[in-house]
Amino acid sequence: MKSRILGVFKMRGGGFLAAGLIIVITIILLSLLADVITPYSPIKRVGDSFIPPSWEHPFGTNKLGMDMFARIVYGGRTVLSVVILATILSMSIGTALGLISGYVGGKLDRGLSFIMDSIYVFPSLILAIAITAVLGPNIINAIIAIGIIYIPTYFRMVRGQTLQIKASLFIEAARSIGADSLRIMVKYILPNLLPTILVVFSMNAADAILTEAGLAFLGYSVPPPTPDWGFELQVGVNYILSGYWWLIFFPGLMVTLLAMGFALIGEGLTDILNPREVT
Amino acid sequence: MDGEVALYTEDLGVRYYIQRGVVKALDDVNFRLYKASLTGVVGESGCGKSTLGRAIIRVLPPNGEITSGRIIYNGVNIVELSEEEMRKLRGREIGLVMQDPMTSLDPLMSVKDHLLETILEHIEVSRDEALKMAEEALSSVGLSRELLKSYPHQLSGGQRQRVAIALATVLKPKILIADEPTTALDVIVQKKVLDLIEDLMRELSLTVMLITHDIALAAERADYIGVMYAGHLVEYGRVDQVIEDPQHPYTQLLLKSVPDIENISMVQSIPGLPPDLVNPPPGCRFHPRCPYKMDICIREEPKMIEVGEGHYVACLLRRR
Amino acid sequence: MGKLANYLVVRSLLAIPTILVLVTLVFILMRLTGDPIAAMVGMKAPPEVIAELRHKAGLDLPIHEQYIRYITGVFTGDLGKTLLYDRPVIKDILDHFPATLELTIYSFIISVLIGVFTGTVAAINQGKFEDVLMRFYGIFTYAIFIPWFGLLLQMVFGNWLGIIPIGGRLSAYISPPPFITGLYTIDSLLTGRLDAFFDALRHLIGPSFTLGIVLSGSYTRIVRANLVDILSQDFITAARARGLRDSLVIKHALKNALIPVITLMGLEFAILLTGAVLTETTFSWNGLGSYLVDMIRNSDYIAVQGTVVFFAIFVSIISVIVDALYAIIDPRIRY
Ligand SMILES: Nc1ncnc2c1ncn2[C@@H]1O[C@H](COP(=O)(O)OP(=O)(O)OP(=O)(O)O)[C@@H](O)[C@H]1O
Ligand SMILES: [Mg+2]
Repeated sequence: MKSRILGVFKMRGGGFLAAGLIIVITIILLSLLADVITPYSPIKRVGDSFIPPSWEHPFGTNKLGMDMFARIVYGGRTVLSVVILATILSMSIGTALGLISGYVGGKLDRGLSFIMDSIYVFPSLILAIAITAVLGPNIINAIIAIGIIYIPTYFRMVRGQTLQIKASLFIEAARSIGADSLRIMVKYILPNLLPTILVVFSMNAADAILTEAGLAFLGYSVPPPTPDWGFELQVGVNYILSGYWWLIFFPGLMVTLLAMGFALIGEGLTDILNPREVT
Repeated sequence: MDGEVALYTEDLGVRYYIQRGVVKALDDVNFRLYKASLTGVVGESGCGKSTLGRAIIRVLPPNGEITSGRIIYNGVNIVELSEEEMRKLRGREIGLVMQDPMTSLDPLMSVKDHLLETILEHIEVSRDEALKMAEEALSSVGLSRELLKSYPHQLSGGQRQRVAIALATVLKPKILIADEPTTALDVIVQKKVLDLIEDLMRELSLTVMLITHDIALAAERADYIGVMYAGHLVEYGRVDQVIEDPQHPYTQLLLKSVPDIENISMVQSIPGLPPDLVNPPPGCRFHPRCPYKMDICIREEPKMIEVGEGHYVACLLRRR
Repeated sequence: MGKLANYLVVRSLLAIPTILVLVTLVFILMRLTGDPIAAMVGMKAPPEVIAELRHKAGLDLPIHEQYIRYITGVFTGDLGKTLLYDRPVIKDILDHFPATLELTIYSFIISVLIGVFTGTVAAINQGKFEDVLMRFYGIFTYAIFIPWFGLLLQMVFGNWLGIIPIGGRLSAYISPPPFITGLYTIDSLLTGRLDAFFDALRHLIGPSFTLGIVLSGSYTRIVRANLVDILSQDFITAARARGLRDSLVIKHALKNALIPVITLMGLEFAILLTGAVLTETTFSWNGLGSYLVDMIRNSDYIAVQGTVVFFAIFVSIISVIVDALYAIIDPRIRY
């Protein structure tokens, strides 16, 4: 309520976006270049058990004497591939259904929206657990489970926007020159949706990372020797009392950092794409 | 003969800070309100009328600030008052009614709670006495006490504006600033609300500052008129002086733009647009649109000069 | 009030289709692979065992009969019997539910308090350092991985500083209070068991702060956004122009800004339950989330189905309650 605020009024999304991109790109590079970055294998004993962080082993070693840094950079590959494939799955299905539902309207629209809304309000991790439990815990099913639970996120957004765009004049114009429905949806509506899809994608990627890590923490992602951050944490639970903090701190930090990177990108993009100027 | 001055400003300046830069919303404004009279403030949209009204009661938006000048009320420069001292003046000595009655009441509070809250914040009375004051305030604006229990969404626009006026006058302030109080209302209700303000003025010997973009309305209701352009007060005087003998080219054009019942075809709007106040034109801010522009107008900023008794104008044409 | 009651009844009836959709979804989901029992028990199990389990679960019936039995069960509170211990699933659920409820209630309160505080600080300092800091807080907490945060709390405050217990709902040397509501903090107060009350409270600190802090970020963001919007509205200027104190003006603004937050609470509740599963597992909290995870480990398909259905119904009921709250608080809503 102070009546005086001097200088720059509001931070632009630029800072958030840059910070997010730096975090995400760094983590992607680390995992892609894992072989170059670390000399150690992520699944072989490389030294004593439970060595605290040191120059030799920056993130320490675990019970089996594996290098935690190696496990984490290689683990990034698991996390990133699950999350990227899953979000592509939910994005394509959600966008397609949302576009059709919004464009066609009527009973189909009402039915689909109702189902999607019902899924949307359901606790996502519980649904993901149930799906992987039924399909069996492995990496493909983790992708399917995470892919399914986030379909409504894209559906709702795309449907809403489609309704708006459909009402606008240029769609009328396209129709009057005889463009068919499919063409209108793909050529005229879809391009207009891209900015919003981009924002939803980055926020959703953050959610998907946390869900993947949650599944892995509960033991429903990849089978044990393969490194995966969430799973490392489940192992770490046993060492609270022994004080082997590095077994817990680093894997969880990576999950949080990566999720935060995407959330920052989402926040920045939101600011940039719909700038609300303070008058 | 002119009456006593209730409030005046001296070289008042207000700035808004936005991303693009600094909005010079008011500069060197020397404005006055005479006791128990009605002063109209007119000008096109964006010329700083609301800013002046809000600066006087010191409720500028969070990114706005009074950067220079003084506002003298009862011999005190209220720009220098602490926030707490100023708060005690608001509502009690100076009241404000805003343009849009639809949005100026808290949607979650009943009329009664609005009134009680205002009364109890300023004076020490029992709830019962406060309630009586609230009822009186409502009846003085022509509303029945039945409405006390209503919430804003249950009232019509005219009723809401009356409630807003009741709120601004319940503590019998000396000055009422009405910022386009009737713009959002239909013509018949407009007239009633203005009549109501005039009634209250007589009853409470209120000093009224009526902000409006409608110079015809000001001509009809006001005793004094101030004309604003791009953050400057360009002309000020008694209503007869300003309306019958306008001295500033801008005032003349404003008057010509009024639809005339006998001669509708004569209406001309002023060509061009008011300037961007982040980068106002140098010299006289009106020169880009002025039909009598001289070379000097681009270089020199005109100061207010007295052209008749109590009639001031800021134009280089009038300089002797 | 008659009208309000009417509205509530109608709104509750409207929840039934939602529940039906969710419950049907769970039904389809459980049969996606064709044979959930085989998927869960694994291919190694002898065929007779699988056949017996299938019979017990009613999976040998035609699919529409299974569906009818299932739906009837759901609406009569019969969620079947666990494959492993042959206990009614609903009984297990009701045994574990109070622990989850207690955890979620405390976490919810913590998240709303922190969220409203941080959001308000951000909004009234719009554009300043505090604002940027709070926005960052919102993003950071949104991204926190619950088990990580929980384990760090356990390590720092439990193991190193020794001020909170590492896990569980009650110390081993304290006997649980008599069952009234199943919420230890309430039951112990009702029966005057102060020792149990303080012990239960101490055990709640870790998990409820973990979950509460993680969820608070969403409230920070929405409270800030709403409040910034409301603070720029005319009625706030009008309130200030009437000479109301800043604290009173902020109260006006906050009241208005919090109304949309109620809607968020409904959605947040789903996230709260998701978080509860992870929090419970992290803190060995014997609630419904832990139960669900255990039952999946035991491949108890009937129990899993029942628990998921229960969650679905619970979420629907919460959304009815949220709408009812909305209707009671906001005078503009006409029912
Ligand atoms: N909060 C603000 N931040 C930045 N600039 C502002 C703000 N409020 C007003 N302005 C600018 O200050 C100038 C004066 O605005 P003001 O609202 O006082 O004009 P007005 O004469 O009341 O116009 P109207 O007739 O449209 O109400 C305008 O250029 C406007 O854009
Ligand atoms: Mg105005």
